[in-house]
Amino acid sequence: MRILLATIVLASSIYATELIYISKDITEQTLQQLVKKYKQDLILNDSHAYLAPSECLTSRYFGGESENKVVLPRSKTYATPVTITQEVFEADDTQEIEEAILKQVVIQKISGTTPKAFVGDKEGHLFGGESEIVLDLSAQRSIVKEVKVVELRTVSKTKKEEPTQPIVYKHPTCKLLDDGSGYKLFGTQNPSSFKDGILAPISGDIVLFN
Amino acid sequence: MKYIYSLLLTLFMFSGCSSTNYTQPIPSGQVKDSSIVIRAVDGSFKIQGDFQTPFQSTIHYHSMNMNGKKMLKAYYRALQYNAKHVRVKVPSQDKELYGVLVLDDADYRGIGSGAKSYKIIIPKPYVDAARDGKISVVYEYYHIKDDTMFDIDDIKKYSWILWISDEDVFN
Repeated sequence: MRILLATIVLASSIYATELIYISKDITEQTLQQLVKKYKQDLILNDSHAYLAPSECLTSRYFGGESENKVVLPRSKTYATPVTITQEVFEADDTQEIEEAILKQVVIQKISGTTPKAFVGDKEGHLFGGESEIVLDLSAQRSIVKEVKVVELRTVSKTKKEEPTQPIVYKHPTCKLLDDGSGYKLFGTQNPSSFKDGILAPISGDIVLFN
Repeated sequence: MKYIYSLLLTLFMFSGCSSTNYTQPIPSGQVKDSSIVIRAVDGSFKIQGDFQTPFQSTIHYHSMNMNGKKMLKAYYRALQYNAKHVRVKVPSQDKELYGVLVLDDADYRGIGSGAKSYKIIIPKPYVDAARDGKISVVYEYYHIKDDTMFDIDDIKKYSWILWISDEDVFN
Protein backbone atom coordinates (compact mmCIF):
# COMPACT_ATOMS: atom_id res chain seq x y z
CA MET A 1 0.00 0.00 0.00
CA ARG A 2 2.84 2.36 0.86
CA ILE A 3 4.53 1.52 -2.39
CA LEU A 4 1.29 2.24 -4.26
CA LEU A 5 0.84 5.59 -2.51
CA ALA A 6 4.45 6.51 -3.13
CA THR A 7 4.02 5.63 -6.78
CA ILE A 8 0.91 7.78 -7.06
CA VAL A 9 2.67 10.74 -5.44
CA LEU A 10 5.65 10.27 -7.70
CA ALA A 11 3.44 10.12 -10.77
CA SER A 12 1.63 13.29 -9.66
CA SER A 13 4.88 15.16 -9.27
CA ILE A 14 6.03 14.39 -12.78
CA TYR A 15 6.04 17.62 -14.80
CA ALA A 16 6.13 19.59 -11.54
CA THR A 17 8.31 22.71 -11.59
CA GLU A 18 10.84 23.65 -8.96
CA LEU A 19 9.99 26.61 -6.74
CA ILE A 20 12.27 29.63 -7.09
CA TYR A 21 14.52 29.76 -4.03
CA ILE A 22 15.21 33.34 -2.93
CA SER A 23 16.35 33.40 0.69
CA LYS A 24 17.51 31.40 3.67
CA ASP A 25 16.60 34.25 6.01
CA ILE A 26 12.94 34.06 6.98
CA THR A 27 12.69 36.67 9.70
CA GLU A 28 9.61 38.81 9.38
CA GLN A 29 11.59 41.87 8.42
CA THR A 30 13.33 39.97 5.65
CA LEU A 31 10.07 38.49 4.41
CA GLN A 32 8.53 41.96 4.23
CA GLN A 33 11.49 43.16 2.21
CA LEU A 34 11.27 40.16 -0.12
CA VAL A 35 7.59 40.76 -0.77
CA LYS A 36 8.28 44.40 -1.51
CA LYS A 37 11.11 43.48 -3.85
CA TYR A 38 9.47 40.66 -5.79
CA LYS A 39 5.85 41.82 -5.67
CA GLN A 40 4.75 38.24 -4.97
CA ASP A 41 3.44 36.17 -2.08
CA LEU A 42 6.06 33.86 -0.62
CA ILE A 43 6.17 30.14 0.08
CA LEU A 44 8.15 29.06 3.12
CA ASN A 45 9.48 25.57 3.66
CA ASP A 46 12.15 24.29 6.03
CA SER A 47 13.55 27.78 6.75
CA HIS A 48 13.77 28.66 3.05
CA ALA A 49 11.75 31.25 1.21
CA TYR A 50 10.50 30.69 -2.34
CA LEU A 51 8.48 32.21 -5.12
CA ALA A 52 6.08 30.22 -7.23
CA PRO A 53 7.33 29.96 -10.83
CA SER A 54 5.17 31.18 -13.68
CA GLU A 55 4.28 27.58 -14.58
CA CYS A 56 2.31 27.30 -11.35
CA LEU A 57 0.70 30.69 -11.38
CA THR A 58 -2.72 31.31 -12.72
CA SER A 59 -1.50 32.88 -15.96
CA ARG A 60 -4.84 33.46 -17.61
CA TYR A 61 -4.72 35.58 -20.73
CA PHE A 62 -7.46 37.79 -22.06
CA GLY A 63 -8.11 40.16 -24.89
CA GLY A 64 -10.78 42.27 -26.50
CA GLU A 65 -11.67 44.33 -29.55
CA SER A 66 -14.44 46.69 -30.51
CA GLU A 67 -15.86 48.49 -33.53
CA ASN A 68 -16.14 51.55 -31.33
CA LYS A 69 -13.37 53.26 -29.49
CA VAL A 70 -12.74 51.58 -26.16
CA VAL A 71 -12.13 54.08 -23.37
CA LEU A 72 -9.56 52.50 -21.10
CA PRO A 73 -8.02 53.74 -17.86
CA ARG A 74 -5.12 56.03 -18.63
CA SER A 75 -1.77 54.44 -18.13
CA LYS A 76 1.88 54.89 -18.76
CA THR A 77 3.07 53.01 -21.76
CA TYR A 78 5.65 50.27 -21.48
CA ALA A 79 8.51 49.19 -23.68
CA THR A 80 8.58 45.69 -22.29
CA PRO A 81 5.97 43.57 -24.05
CA VAL A 82 3.38 42.54 -21.51
CA THR A 83 0.75 39.91 -21.53
CA ILE A 84 -2.79 40.94 -20.83
CA THR A 85 -3.31 38.85 -17.75
CA GLN A 86 -6.51 38.90 -15.78
CA GLU A 87 -5.31 41.61 -13.41
CA VAL A 88 -4.47 43.95 -16.26
CA PHE A 89 -7.59 43.08 -18.26
CA GLU A 90 -10.02 43.96 -15.50
CA ALA A 91 -8.08 46.78 -13.85
CA ASP A 92 -10.13 49.88 -13.17
CA ASP A 93 -7.42 52.48 -12.78
CA THR A 94 -3.86 53.36 -13.58
CA GLN A 95 -2.38 52.21 -10.29
CA GLU A 96 -3.91 48.74 -10.55
CA ILE A 97 -2.60 48.39 -14.09
CA GLU A 98 0.91 49.46 -13.22
CA GLU A 99 1.11 47.21 -10.18
CA ALA A 100 -0.14 44.23 -12.16
CA ILE A 101 2.27 44.78 -15.02
CA LEU A 102 5.23 45.36 -12.69
CA LYS A 103 4.50 42.13 -10.85
CA GLN A 104 4.28 40.28 -14.12
CA VAL A 105 7.57 41.63 -15.45
CA VAL A 106 9.41 40.86 -12.20
CA ILE A 107 8.34 37.25 -12.12
CA GLN A 108 9.12 36.84 -15.80
CA LYS A 109 12.66 38.13 -15.33
CA ILE A 110 13.26 36.00 -12.26
CA SER A 111 11.94 32.92 -14.01
CA GLY A 112 14.06 33.65 -17.05
CA THR A 113 11.02 33.51 -19.31
CA THR A 114 10.43 35.81 -22.22
CA PRO A 115 7.51 38.18 -21.90
CA LYS A 116 4.88 37.44 -24.48
CA ALA A 117 4.56 40.07 -27.17
CA PHE A 118 0.80 40.28 -26.82
CA VAL A 119 0.35 44.01 -26.97
CA GLY A 120 2.44 44.27 -30.10
CA ASP A 121 -0.18 42.67 -32.36
CA LYS A 122 -2.75 45.16 -31.17
CA GLU A 123 -5.20 42.56 -29.98
CA GLY A 124 -6.96 43.91 -27.00
CA HIS A 125 -4.76 46.94 -27.39
CA LEU A 126 -5.05 47.82 -23.73
CA PHE A 127 -1.54 48.94 -22.94
CA GLY A 128 1.79 49.23 -24.69
CA GLY A 129 4.35 51.73 -25.88
CA GLU A 130 7.57 53.50 -25.27
CA SER A 131 8.37 54.28 -21.64
CA GLU A 132 10.70 52.05 -19.69
CA ILE A 133 10.09 50.38 -16.38
CA VAL A 134 13.02 50.67 -14.05
CA LEU A 135 13.28 47.59 -11.90
CA ASP A 136 15.67 46.80 -9.10
CA LEU A 137 16.83 43.34 -10.05
CA SER A 138 20.09 43.36 -8.06
CA ALA A 139 18.67 40.66 -5.81
CA GLN A 140 18.41 38.36 -8.80
CA ARG A 141 22.16 37.79 -8.64
CA SER A 142 21.81 36.24 -5.21
CA ILE A 143 19.36 33.60 -6.34
CA VAL A 144 20.86 30.15 -6.08
CA LYS A 145 19.45 26.92 -7.35
CA GLU A 146 20.83 24.68 -4.62
CA VAL A 147 22.05 24.91 -1.08
CA LYS A 148 24.90 22.50 -0.40
CA VAL A 149 25.46 21.65 3.22
CA VAL A 150 28.78 19.93 3.86
CA GLU A 151 29.18 18.04 7.11
CA LEU A 152 32.74 17.44 8.34
CA ARG A 153 33.30 14.33 10.39
CA THR A 154 35.83 14.18 13.23
CA VAL A 155 37.93 11.04 12.94
CA SER A 156 40.67 9.50 14.98
CA LYS A 157 44.27 10.40 14.07
CA THR A 158 45.05 6.75 13.60
CA LYS A 159 42.48 6.40 10.88
CA LYS A 160 42.66 7.86 7.46
CA GLU A 161 40.16 10.67 6.90
CA GLU A 162 37.40 9.67 4.58
CA PRO A 163 36.22 12.17 1.98
CA THR A 164 32.89 13.80 2.90
CA GLN A 165 29.91 13.88 0.58
CA PRO A 166 28.02 17.12 0.25
CA ILE A 167 24.38 16.87 1.17
CA VAL A 168 22.39 18.45 -1.61
CA TYR A 169 19.20 20.12 -0.48
CA LYS A 170 16.29 19.32 -2.71
CA HIS A 171 13.95 22.23 -3.28
CA PRO A 172 10.22 21.64 -3.39
CA THR A 173 8.26 21.72 -6.63
CA CYS A 174 4.78 22.77 -7.70
CA LYS A 175 2.22 21.76 -10.30
CA LEU A 176 -0.88 23.58 -11.49
CA LEU A 177 -4.11 21.84 -10.48
CA ASP A 178 -6.17 20.27 -13.25
CA ASP A 179 -9.01 22.76 -12.84
CA GLY A 180 -6.60 25.69 -12.74
CA SER A 181 -7.82 26.85 -9.34
CA GLY A 182 -4.39 26.74 -7.72
CA TYR A 183 -1.28 24.62 -7.48
CA LYS A 184 -0.03 21.70 -5.43
CA LEU A 185 3.33 21.57 -3.68
CA PHE A 186 5.58 18.52 -3.62
CA GLY A 187 8.56 17.73 -1.42
CA THR A 188 7.54 20.08 1.38
CA GLN A 189 7.35 19.69 5.15
CA ASN A 190 4.70 21.84 6.84
CA PRO A 191 4.93 24.65 4.30
CA SER A 192 3.48 28.05 4.94
CA SER A 193 2.68 31.14 2.94
CA PHE A 194 3.56 34.76 3.61
CA LYS A 195 0.84 36.96 2.20
CA ASP A 196 -0.28 40.46 3.13
CA GLY A 197 2.17 40.36 6.05
CA ILE A 198 0.61 37.23 7.49
CA LEU A 199 2.29 33.87 7.91
CA ALA A 200 -0.18 31.01 7.51
CA PRO A 201 0.18 27.23 7.15
CA ILE A 202 -0.63 25.75 3.75
CA SER A 203 -3.28 23.10 4.18
CA GLY A 204 -2.87 19.89 2.20
CA ASP A 205 0.09 21.34 0.27
CA ILE A 206 -2.39 23.14 -1.98
CA VAL A 207 -2.31 26.86 -2.70
CA LEU A 208 -5.55 28.20 -4.14
CA PHE A 209 -5.85 31.36 -6.19
CA ASN A 210 -8.45 33.91 -5.14
CA MET B 1 -7.11 -19.46 -40.41
CA LYS B 2 -3.93 -17.47 -40.74
CA TYR B 3 -5.61 -15.27 -43.32
CA ILE B 4 -8.56 -14.54 -41.00
CA TYR B 5 -6.20 -13.80 -38.11
CA SER B 6 -4.17 -11.38 -40.25
CA LEU B 7 -7.34 -9.68 -41.47
CA LEU B 8 -8.63 -9.23 -37.94
CA LEU B 9 -5.28 -7.90 -36.76
CA THR B 10 -5.17 -5.44 -39.64
CA LEU B 11 -8.70 -4.24 -38.93
CA PHE B 12 -7.86 -3.85 -35.26
CA MET B 13 -4.74 -1.79 -36.01
CA PHE B 14 -6.53 0.56 -38.40
CA SER B 15 -9.53 1.03 -36.11
CA GLY B 16 -7.32 3.13 -33.83
CA CYS B 17 -6.70 5.64 -36.60
CA SER B 18 -10.31 6.81 -36.68
CA SER B 19 -10.56 7.44 -32.95
CA THR B 20 -7.81 10.06 -32.63
CA ASN B 21 -8.98 13.05 -30.58
CA TYR B 22 -6.86 16.18 -30.36
CA THR B 23 -9.25 18.09 -28.09
CA GLN B 24 -10.53 17.69 -24.57
CA PRO B 25 -13.63 19.16 -22.94
CA ILE B 26 -13.50 22.00 -20.43
CA PRO B 27 -16.03 20.95 -17.80
CA SER B 28 -16.67 24.12 -15.82
CA GLY B 29 -16.07 27.83 -15.44
CA GLN B 30 -16.91 31.03 -13.68
CA VAL B 31 -18.41 34.35 -14.64
CA LYS B 32 -16.11 36.55 -12.59
CA ASP B 33 -18.71 39.22 -11.81
CA SER B 34 -21.53 37.32 -10.16
CA SER B 35 -24.02 40.04 -11.07
CA ILE B 36 -23.62 39.26 -14.79
CA VAL B 37 -26.09 36.75 -16.22
CA ILE B 38 -25.69 35.08 -19.61
CA ARG B 39 -28.74 33.19 -20.88
CA ALA B 40 -29.38 31.28 -24.07
CA VAL B 41 -31.93 32.75 -26.46
CA ASP B 42 -33.36 29.26 -26.98
CA GLY B 43 -33.80 28.87 -23.23
CA SER B 44 -31.39 25.94 -22.94
CA PHE B 45 -29.15 27.41 -20.24
CA LYS B 46 -28.36 30.31 -17.96
CA ILE B 47 -24.94 30.89 -16.42
CA GLN B 48 -24.05 33.12 -13.51
CA GLY B 49 -21.09 32.82 -11.13
CA ASP B 50 -19.72 29.27 -11.04
CA PHE B 51 -21.16 27.00 -13.72
CA GLN B 52 -20.88 23.59 -15.32
CA THR B 53 -20.32 23.91 -19.07
CA PRO B 54 -23.80 23.80 -20.64
CA PHE B 55 -22.58 23.23 -24.19
CA GLN B 56 -19.33 22.80 -26.06
CA SER B 57 -18.36 24.67 -29.20
CA THR B 58 -15.89 23.19 -31.66
CA ILE B 59 -14.26 26.20 -33.31
CA HIS B 60 -10.84 24.96 -32.28
CA TYR B 61 -11.35 21.61 -33.92
CA HIS B 62 -12.27 23.38 -37.14
CA SER B 63 -9.25 25.64 -36.91
CA MET B 64 -11.24 28.81 -37.18
CA ASN B 65 -8.64 31.55 -37.60
CA MET B 66 -9.52 34.88 -36.12
CA ASN B 67 -7.20 37.75 -35.36
CA GLY B 68 -7.56 41.42 -34.68
CA LYS B 69 -10.42 43.12 -36.47
CA LYS B 70 -11.46 39.88 -38.16
CA MET B 71 -12.46 38.65 -34.74
CA LEU B 72 -15.28 41.18 -34.63
CA LYS B 73 -17.18 39.53 -37.49
CA ALA B 74 -16.13 35.95 -36.84
CA TYR B 75 -19.24 35.24 -34.79
CA TYR B 76 -21.06 34.20 -37.98
CA ARG B 77 -18.57 31.39 -38.51
CA ALA B 78 -18.52 30.46 -34.83
CA LEU B 79 -22.29 29.92 -35.01
CA GLN B 80 -21.61 27.16 -37.54
CA TYR B 81 -19.56 25.38 -34.89
CA ASN B 82 -22.00 25.39 -32.04
CA ALA B 83 -21.63 28.91 -30.69
CA LYS B 84 -24.89 30.09 -29.09
CA HIS B 85 -27.05 33.19 -29.36
CA VAL B 86 -27.31 34.71 -25.88
CA ARG B 87 -28.58 37.67 -23.93
CA VAL B 88 -26.20 39.26 -21.43
CA LYS B 89 -27.33 41.22 -18.38
CA VAL B 90 -24.61 43.50 -17.01
CA PRO B 91 -24.88 45.69 -13.92
CA SER B 92 -24.03 48.92 -15.75
CA GLN B 93 -26.98 48.70 -18.14
CA ASP B 94 -30.71 48.24 -17.66
CA LYS B 95 -31.29 46.52 -20.99
CA GLU B 96 -29.84 43.11 -21.81
CA LEU B 97 -27.15 43.04 -24.48
CA TYR B 98 -27.37 40.78 -27.52
CA GLY B 99 -24.53 38.34 -27.91
CA VAL B 100 -22.92 35.19 -29.25
CA LEU B 101 -21.02 32.91 -26.89
CA VAL B 102 -18.37 30.32 -27.62
CA LEU B 103 -17.40 27.83 -24.91
CA ASP B 104 -14.81 25.85 -26.77
CA ASP B 105 -13.19 22.53 -26.10
CA ALA B 106 -9.46 22.71 -25.46
CA ASP B 107 -6.48 21.68 -27.49
CA TYR B 108 -5.02 18.63 -25.71
CA ARG B 109 -1.63 20.38 -25.76
CA GLY B 110 -3.05 23.41 -23.96
CA ILE B 111 -1.25 24.62 -20.83
CA GLY B 112 -2.31 26.84 -17.99
CA SER B 113 -5.59 27.63 -16.31
CA GLY B 114 -7.25 28.80 -19.50
CA ALA B 115 -7.11 25.27 -20.92
CA LYS B 116 -8.67 23.79 -17.77
CA SER B 117 -11.61 26.05 -16.95
CA TYR B 118 -13.39 29.15 -18.24
CA LYS B 119 -13.17 32.50 -16.50
CA ILE B 120 -15.52 34.94 -18.22
CA ILE B 121 -14.67 38.59 -17.69
CA ILE B 122 -16.47 41.46 -19.43
CA PRO B 123 -14.65 44.72 -18.66
CA LYS B 124 -16.92 47.75 -18.60
CA PRO B 125 -15.06 49.66 -21.35
CA TYR B 126 -16.03 46.93 -23.83
CA VAL B 127 -19.63 46.99 -22.65
CA ASP B 128 -19.72 50.76 -23.08
CA ALA B 129 -18.24 50.45 -26.57
CA ALA B 130 -20.95 47.99 -27.65
CA ARG B 131 -23.42 50.78 -28.40
CA ASP B 132 -25.27 52.05 -31.48
CA GLY B 133 -25.20 48.59 -33.01
CA LYS B 134 -21.42 48.24 -32.80
CA ILE B 135 -19.85 44.99 -31.71
CA SER B 136 -17.37 44.37 -28.93
CA VAL B 137 -15.69 41.03 -28.43
CA VAL B 138 -13.86 39.73 -25.37
CA TYR B 139 -12.13 36.41 -24.93
CA GLU B 140 -9.67 34.29 -23.02
CA TYR B 141 -6.89 32.30 -24.62
CA TYR B 142 -4.13 29.88 -23.63
CA HIS B 143 -0.86 28.64 -25.03
CA ILE B 144 0.13 25.18 -26.12
CA LYS B 145 3.09 23.05 -25.13
CA ASP B 146 6.36 24.07 -26.65
CA ASP B 147 7.21 22.12 -29.75
CA THR B 148 10.93 22.10 -30.34
CA MET B 149 10.47 22.01 -34.09
CA PHE B 150 8.37 25.15 -34.44
CA ASP B 151 8.11 28.45 -32.64
CA ILE B 152 4.68 28.36 -31.09
CA ASP B 153 4.97 31.24 -28.66
CA ASP B 154 2.56 33.33 -30.70
CA ILE B 155 -0.11 30.68 -31.09
CA LYS B 156 -3.27 31.53 -29.17
CA LYS B 157 -6.04 29.07 -28.57
CA TYR B 158 -9.35 30.53 -27.46
CA SER B 159 -11.26 28.92 -24.62
CA TRP B 160 -14.25 31.28 -24.62
CA ILE B 161 -15.31 34.18 -26.80
CA LEU B 162 -18.23 36.55 -26.28
CA TRP B 163 -19.48 39.02 -28.87
CA ILE B 164 -21.88 41.69 -27.56
CA SER B 165 -23.86 44.61 -28.91
CA ASP B 166 -26.78 46.74 -27.76
CA GLU B 167 -28.67 45.85 -30.94
CA ASP B 168 -29.58 42.52 -32.50
CA VAL B 169 -26.84 42.46 -35.14
CA PHE B 170 -25.92 38.82 -34.87
CA ASN B 171 -28.57 37.25 -37.11
